[in-house]
Amino acid sequence: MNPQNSDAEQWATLLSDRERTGGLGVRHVSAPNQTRWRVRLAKSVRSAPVLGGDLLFVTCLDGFLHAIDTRTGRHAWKFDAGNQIHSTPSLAGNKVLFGCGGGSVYALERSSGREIWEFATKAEVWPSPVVQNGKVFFGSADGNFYAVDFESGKREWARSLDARIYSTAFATAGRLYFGCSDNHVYCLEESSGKVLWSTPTGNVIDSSPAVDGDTVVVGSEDFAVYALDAASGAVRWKFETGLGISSSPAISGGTVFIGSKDNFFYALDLRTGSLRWKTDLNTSVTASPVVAEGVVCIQAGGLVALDIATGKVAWRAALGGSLQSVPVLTGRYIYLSGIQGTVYALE
Amino acid sequence: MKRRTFLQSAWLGYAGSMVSRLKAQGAKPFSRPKAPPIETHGLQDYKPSPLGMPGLFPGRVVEVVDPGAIANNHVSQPAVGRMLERGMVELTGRSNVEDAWRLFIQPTDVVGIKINPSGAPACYSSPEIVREIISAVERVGVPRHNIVIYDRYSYEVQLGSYSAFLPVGVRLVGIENSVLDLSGYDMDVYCQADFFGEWETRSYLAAVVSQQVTKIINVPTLKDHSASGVTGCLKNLAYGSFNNVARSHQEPITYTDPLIGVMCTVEPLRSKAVLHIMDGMREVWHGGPLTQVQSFIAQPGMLMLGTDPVAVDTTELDIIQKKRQAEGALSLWDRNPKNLTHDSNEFYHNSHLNLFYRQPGHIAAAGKLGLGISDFQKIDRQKIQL
Repeated sequence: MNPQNSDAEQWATLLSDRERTGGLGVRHVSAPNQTRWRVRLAKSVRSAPVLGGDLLFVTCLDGFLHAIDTRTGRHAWKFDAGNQIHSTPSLAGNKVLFGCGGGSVYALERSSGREIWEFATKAEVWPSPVVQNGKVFFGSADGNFYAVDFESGKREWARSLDARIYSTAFATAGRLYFGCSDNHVYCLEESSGKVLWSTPTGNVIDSSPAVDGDTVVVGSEDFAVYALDAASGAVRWKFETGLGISSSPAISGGTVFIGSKDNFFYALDLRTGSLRWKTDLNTSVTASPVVAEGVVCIQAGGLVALDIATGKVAWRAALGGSLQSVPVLTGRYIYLSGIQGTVYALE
Repeated sequence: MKRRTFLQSAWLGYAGSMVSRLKAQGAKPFSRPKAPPIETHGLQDYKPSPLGMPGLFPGRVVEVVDPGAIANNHVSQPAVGRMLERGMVELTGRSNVEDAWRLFIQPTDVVGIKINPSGAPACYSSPEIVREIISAVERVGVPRHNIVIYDRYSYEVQLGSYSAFLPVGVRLVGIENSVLDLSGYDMDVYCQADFFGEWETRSYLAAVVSQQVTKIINVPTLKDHSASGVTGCLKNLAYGSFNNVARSHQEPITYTDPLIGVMCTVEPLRSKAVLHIMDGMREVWHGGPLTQVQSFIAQPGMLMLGTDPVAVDTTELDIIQKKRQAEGALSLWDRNPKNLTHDSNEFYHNSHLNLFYRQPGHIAAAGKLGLGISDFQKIDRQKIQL
């Protein structure tokens, strides 16, 4: 159950990788048939849980980061951030990191919940912190994108964009990609925060990009999915859906998977942007998908597993209505949270 | 093009003609039980403002239409900006738009903008309109940190990605984060009534309304409503500022009439709501408030402005009733029990069905409470085509 990257200090993007697996890697997953345990939190969960060892980390609008022992379903510890939390936690080394509504980003000791450092911005931090090369990267609704030292929490640099940032960055060698409320996709130099390029879309971006090779893929509230050249920002293709997109794409095997508020879940060819399939989920799809062997899972109404080749519904679990939650797929267990504030371990 | 007219509309006759039709069909028209008494507790010692509803221009409604303001479901912010400026000048009679805004807003105000996100993502208060309102309020001299966008449900606000649409520094408040979350409400300001024997008989006013903002700009959407007939200025303010309001419905009966109007009389809500800007970029003519069915959502590209919520909602009622007639849908005044369904999904996809005996009379009832003018012949309705 240990995450593949538990000893590494890299957490490249929302849920660690472009498949959104939380660092667990693409696993075989089958339909759950029973609930192992459930935990009722005080308020809604608007983020994705992540798994590190035997601890499941869940942020909640009750202002706490909850560390739940997956063996028992009981709290190992919880940390009071004092403000609503929308940020999906990230794991690197011995730390768990997250942002909160009060504007702070926290680094806690994973095993105990002890605060290691706190970095304050001037408005809410909803994105998930990204860790690469000893730095932590995140945007804030105060209009800045920050880089802070992973060990000390001291500021390395800040890039002012004068527009709110809700998109989690994707870090590659020397570069950071994210969307912004000024309608642009940005590429910053990791070492300095210098803007290498920016590409406009037709509306604000709260989707988090995924990068595969030399292609950056992201959704926009202008209803479209964009594929950009990672080196220049040039638009390679654009795919129109029926409403805005706040879902963040997952990429696997040359296919982009993404949801739209138009109720459809889309599979697009990474190279051309052509539609491979789309499936009507009968509700707005705002969460990010996670790729497993043979299926792609998405929380829309409940948890839905779609055949990765055809888009047909392989199975459903009527739990986990979600705005931004993403299930944790370990192979044997599925960990699930959602807007009702209940965390489930399904077996 | 501009024309000013006092309309001689026939909508008041709809109810009468519906009863006649039911009698011809042999169906017994529905007669709703009498509404229980509603007790109100406003903020103690609050001094009412002359800007409060019906405000500076009772009976005046300005409609600004620009068909180019929305194309393929995308709203044009520059077009909306032009529409808003023109509408404000026409509403107030001032020669420039800054003077028009200063009639309502002062630099020292804390300005609440009440959005309606309940139809998100298909139809909700357009961020493009809200951003233009924010710009106008800033030009008056209100700093961004004193501008608060609010609604009751943080879930719906987030579904509409509202936070991403706002300028840096503007505050966004979703009052409830989960079921029975009372932390954002003022326990001293409430309406109390027992409609159906519910366990909680009080509805509390949001603390952001009673304690934080000094003025409210109301931005409802042009939309029908399964219970209240339409949801406009009055309902967006009342059911979007008080909690525990769903208890006023129990299919097929709803007490939205008179609860909506009564809530709007409670101070300080009444005094703080100084301006109503109805978003008619989209028009939901069936399935409101939550429908996502695009075939029931027209795109007229309209803004409707007024200080009198009753007059604006009366006009909205006329617009939606006519649209439903044109589309062959049931009248908003339909009382035929054969047209009722308990299946909300069926209702959302069939404009010949109702979940409730709708209560569009809540608007006239609010008029009788002094909140504005519901007599169509007395409404000064200006139409401006850009």
